[in-house]
Amino acid sequence: MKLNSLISKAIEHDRVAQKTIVSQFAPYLFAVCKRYLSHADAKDALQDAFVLIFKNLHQFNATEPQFQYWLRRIAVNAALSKIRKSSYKSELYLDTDHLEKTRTPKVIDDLETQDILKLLNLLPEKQKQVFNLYIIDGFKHKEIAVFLEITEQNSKNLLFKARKTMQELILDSEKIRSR
Amino acid sequence: MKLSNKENKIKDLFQNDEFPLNVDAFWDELEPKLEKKKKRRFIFWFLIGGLLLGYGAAQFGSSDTIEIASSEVSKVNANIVEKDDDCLESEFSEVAIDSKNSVTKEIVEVTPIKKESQKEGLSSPILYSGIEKLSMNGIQLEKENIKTEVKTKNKIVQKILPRRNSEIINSKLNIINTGFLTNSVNSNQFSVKKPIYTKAKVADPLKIISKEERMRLQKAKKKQRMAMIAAKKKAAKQRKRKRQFKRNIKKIKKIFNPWSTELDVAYGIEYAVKIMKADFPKFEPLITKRKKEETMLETQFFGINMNHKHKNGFVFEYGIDYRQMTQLYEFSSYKEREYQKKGVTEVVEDNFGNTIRESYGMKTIHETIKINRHIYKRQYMVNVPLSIGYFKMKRKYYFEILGGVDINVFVKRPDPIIFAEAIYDTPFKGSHPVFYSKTGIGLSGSFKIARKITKRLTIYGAPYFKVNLRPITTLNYGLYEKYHFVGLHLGLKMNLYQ
Repeated sequence: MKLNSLISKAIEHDRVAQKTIVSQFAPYLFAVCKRYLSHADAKDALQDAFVLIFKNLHQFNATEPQFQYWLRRIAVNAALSKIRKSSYKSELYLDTDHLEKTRTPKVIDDLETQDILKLLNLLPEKQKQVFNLYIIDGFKHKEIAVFLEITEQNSKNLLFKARKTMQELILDSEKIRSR
Repeated sequence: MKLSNKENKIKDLFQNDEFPLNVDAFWDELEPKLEKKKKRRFIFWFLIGGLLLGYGAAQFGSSDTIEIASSEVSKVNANIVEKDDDCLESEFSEVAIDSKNSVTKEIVEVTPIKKESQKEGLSSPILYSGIEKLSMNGIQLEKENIKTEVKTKNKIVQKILPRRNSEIINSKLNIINTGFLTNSVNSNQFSVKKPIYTKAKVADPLKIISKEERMRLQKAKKKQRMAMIAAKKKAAKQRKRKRQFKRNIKKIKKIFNPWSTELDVAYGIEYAVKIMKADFPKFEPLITKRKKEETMLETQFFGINMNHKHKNGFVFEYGIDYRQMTQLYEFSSYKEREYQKKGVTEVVEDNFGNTIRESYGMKTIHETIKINRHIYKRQYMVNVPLSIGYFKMKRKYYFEILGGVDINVFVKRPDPIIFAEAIYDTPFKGSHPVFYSKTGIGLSGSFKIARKITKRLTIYGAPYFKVNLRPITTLNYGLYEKYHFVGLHLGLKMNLYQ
């Protein structure tokens, strides 16, 4: 079934179509949520995200990649809402075993990536969120400002600081490794 | 490695990352939270009903028909529809504004529409289109009720009108957005032109009522509400009156009945002063001995009294109290024994005190053993106090001085105390008891210092004394034994009636 017809049926509250969308996109969105939250909270956030998605699906009319992007935005927003609600101390929750299984080795050296993720966890909360949103999820500062309820300039500053700290941390870690 | 490369790597890593999830279980959890399918059957049946009605009306009204070519008819109807459409467009917004929070029903227009074909002298249809616009809670519904006096084929008209009407519904009815998603759709990343999606919430046709009916219902509701408010007010007034009445009754009672009653519960620690005398001189050594042997320990008091006070200050009190005395008896008894023992029986000494000779043999030895015993004994009493007095109130404090009689109704003392040495075994058993079972009247007095802690509760402390007039020993007994009490009572009074 094509995505457009799926969406139109889902708008009509067709449960089969909705379930198809869920089964198609839930793992992807779950991975997105899991980067911001713990496993259980990510699941809750994912549920919230899907409730929002089906509630507002009629507003969407675009192609599949855009749909995926749209879903991602909602999932990120749901995760951030969860953080805001519970003043959540987020960490980059990354199941590295799972990554090893699913990633192809050519994409990236896993070990290095894991190291970077560990380093990312060392960043202050807001810097980490901005880094995550900007670098990984590819959101613009304008959007990040809306998400995190900060100013655009503040978002830029936080990213600058995050990058700087990351640079230092990477350099340190490389030095240690070279020894 | 540069940071940007790292960043790109991270981005690539997460770009299409998926995390395994039990979709079925997740769906089971998610499904109850999702919106249910909305029933749109009402619209459908409503429109069908409208169509049928319209068709019926048209059939009824079209008595004489003029036959024209079908191509012209369709053209004419197209014009009609356009006019109708304009009419709907213009009126729609007004109705939408007016009908935000209420149910309205309006006949917008009922006008005969002349067609161009009429000008041309052709036999053309004359349409009376009546459009009822209904709205409920800001959601509009258009109910079409077409009265046609058609001099052409009506069914064509009726086929077209509902279609147009549904288009209008679709294009004009509310679009429901949420904040975030509205922003997201409007944001820059979507280059595709945003289509207008419509989501019409349709009022339940069963709930649609006429304006008059609505007004009537509103009036009735208002009347009912007013009646309820009035009833509530009336009830509140009645309650208030009742309360006032009760208060007045209390005041009146107080005027005519100046007495107040209190329940008094008291606990006290006392010291019993023991007085012992010998009726006969031969008992005096015994008295001296007993005074050494017997020590008075503490006495505990527990009493419940009813206290009636007159507003002038007069008090009388009665009740019942229980008193328990504890005494310590330290008995010393002596046991003597005599036995034979081998040893020196005789010693012969010279003038200088030197032993000259010792004789050995069996000799008799006398021994006296002293046995000390400590016994705690208790004496129980039950009394009925009757007192009168005077009280003086000062703000929260009041002082009460009471004096009266304390009638002993029961005394229980363990008998064998004075028989510990088995001196007075026989003469006092049987018909000649040593102690009275009740000692009769005593005089008591107390001075209470009380403080109110709540409206009804008062605590007090009272120094207390009691002088027994009669001894507890009977005349058959050669000893005279009497107790007086001095102590401190602490109590709680509860006002029962004022």
